[in-house]
Amino acid sequence: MVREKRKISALAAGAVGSQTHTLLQEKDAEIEALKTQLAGGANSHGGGDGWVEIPINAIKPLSIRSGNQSVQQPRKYFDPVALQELAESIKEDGLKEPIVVRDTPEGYEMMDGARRHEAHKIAGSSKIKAYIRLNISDEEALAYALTTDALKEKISPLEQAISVVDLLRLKLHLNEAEVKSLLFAMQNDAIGKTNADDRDETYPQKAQIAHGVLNSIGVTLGTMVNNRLKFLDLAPKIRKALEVGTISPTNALLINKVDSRVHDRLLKEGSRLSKKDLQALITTLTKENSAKEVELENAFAQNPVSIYEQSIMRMQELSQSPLVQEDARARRMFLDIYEKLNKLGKYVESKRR
Amino acid sequence: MKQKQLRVAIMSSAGGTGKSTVAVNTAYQLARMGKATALVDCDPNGSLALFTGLEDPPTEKTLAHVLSPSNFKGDWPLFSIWEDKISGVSACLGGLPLYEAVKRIDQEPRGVYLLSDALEDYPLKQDVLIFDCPGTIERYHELALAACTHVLIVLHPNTKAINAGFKLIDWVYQYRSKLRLQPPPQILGIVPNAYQKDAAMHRNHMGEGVADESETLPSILQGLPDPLKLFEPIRETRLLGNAADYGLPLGIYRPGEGINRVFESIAQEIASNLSGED
Repeated sequence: MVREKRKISALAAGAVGSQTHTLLQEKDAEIEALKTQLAGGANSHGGGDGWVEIPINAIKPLSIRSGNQSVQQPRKYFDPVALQELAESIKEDGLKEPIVVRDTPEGYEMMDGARRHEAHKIAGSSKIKAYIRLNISDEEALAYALTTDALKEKISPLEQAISVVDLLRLKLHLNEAEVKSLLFAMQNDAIGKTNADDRDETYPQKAQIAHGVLNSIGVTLGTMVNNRLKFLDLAPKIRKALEVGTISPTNALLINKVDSRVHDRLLKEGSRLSKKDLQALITTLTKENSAKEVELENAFAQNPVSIYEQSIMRMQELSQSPLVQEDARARRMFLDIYEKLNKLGKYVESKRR
Repeated sequence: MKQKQLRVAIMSSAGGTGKSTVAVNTAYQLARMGKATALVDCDPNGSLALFTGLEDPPTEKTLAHVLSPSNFKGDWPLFSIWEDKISGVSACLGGLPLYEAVKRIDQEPRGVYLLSDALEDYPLKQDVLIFDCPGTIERYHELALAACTHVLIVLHPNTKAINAGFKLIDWVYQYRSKLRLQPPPQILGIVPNAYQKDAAMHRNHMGEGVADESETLPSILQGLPDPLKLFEPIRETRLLGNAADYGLPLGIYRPGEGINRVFESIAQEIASNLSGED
């Protein structure tokens, strides 16, 4: 047996583990204390608990760049109607709960209150009540912003999914895909389908931290895995529509399931439909598509030559049409057909060999 | 405004690493900088009496008295030391009475916080308190951790001691979290003592002329999630033992000795934390 001299870096493993654990726990406690302090301030009026008025345009969004990880403040899209209502109430009664910003060398950065800030702009105010926090690290600021956002009642399931995944990326130094697989592994554990491949030696600690994050935000592991994560897999167009609020979360998921060729039509026509009506529209559209396909199959089976001849005639006609040369869209469609013909040619060739 | 006080617990997880040596010499250097310092002996071995030239006191004149909430009313048993040479250093001694006193940690409802509570109820006016802890992790470490603002770890630069040192770091973080200490005590740094330049193991661990830096103490401590400061090593010398035999710090026994600079740098680190914030 070959023995090697003991590496002293290996002796530090336990210390590394408890440092990590303790620092994370203390960070959570700090954020908790900050939240309590702010919640207390929200109930009292006047500047006694430390808020000040700062110019509206002096506040920038939270920006954080650390190493190769870059995490943005959760994207915010506000319901225009609710925003208008908030602006009206601010005009009449003023702001009840001051926003929270951190002071950085580059100016004030938003930690909590982007919606109230937006409403002040609409209300035409030049100043806003704010708690100014000094010496807040990037990590604390982002964890605070994400946690308070996630705790807000009106946060959408998509925003919640983004918040949780961002918070875990930050805390565990993982990328989005790794965070997802961690959550799936935890869910498998929870339902007794433990898979040894899902785990490495850091798994128990990561899982513990992830459970802590879910708890602090008040969402269960099951809800997160079964009902939230799928919002991150939405097609870009659908995700955008959900973010700007033109479709509901349920409708977004429904549309995402069907053939991407009908996405545009569904987003346009189905945006304000109930789930049931949207379902009916989807059935009609997919039926339309499949009905056309069946019709064509039948015609081909009965008289293939007629279809061949029609195809050739059409191509000849079209090749002489000036529109194909002049109109970009027509030209593209024509060239698509040409490409498909080439593909078909290669396929037939390969079968022949 | 409340005067800030730094409370440094000197710990190690082996006996004879030089905790008391670092304690008395750092206290002397702090006094030279004009920072009043009290040494508090948390060790049943009572080495501090030896190192400061004091006689073993009766039970009621030791830390055991402070740790007896029913009897202690703020009458800290502090003895001035080295008065003829310098002012501002005093000591609260430990020794055998601490063997009995430790039992109260289990009996008192706020056992682990006995020292912390005593300091809160009856504050000491010194700028710096230095707790000299026993040689292996035990209840007095919990007591000192709960009462301190900083921890200083002394170790010999050999593999066994470094292993024990990392166990101690592990313990400090576990317990500051378990005891929910607010603000959490920080590790001020690691002091390598009894460094032998002619020992390959010592040189390798300290990274002297080493090709692969990753296996050296300086780079491992820097690479920790919460990086720790490594002080300059104190080289092995009989002078420190000799000075202790006279109950004197090296700064008085041999003022010109170069090793004094290491203690000065520790004292400076403490002083900078003292003035760092309000």
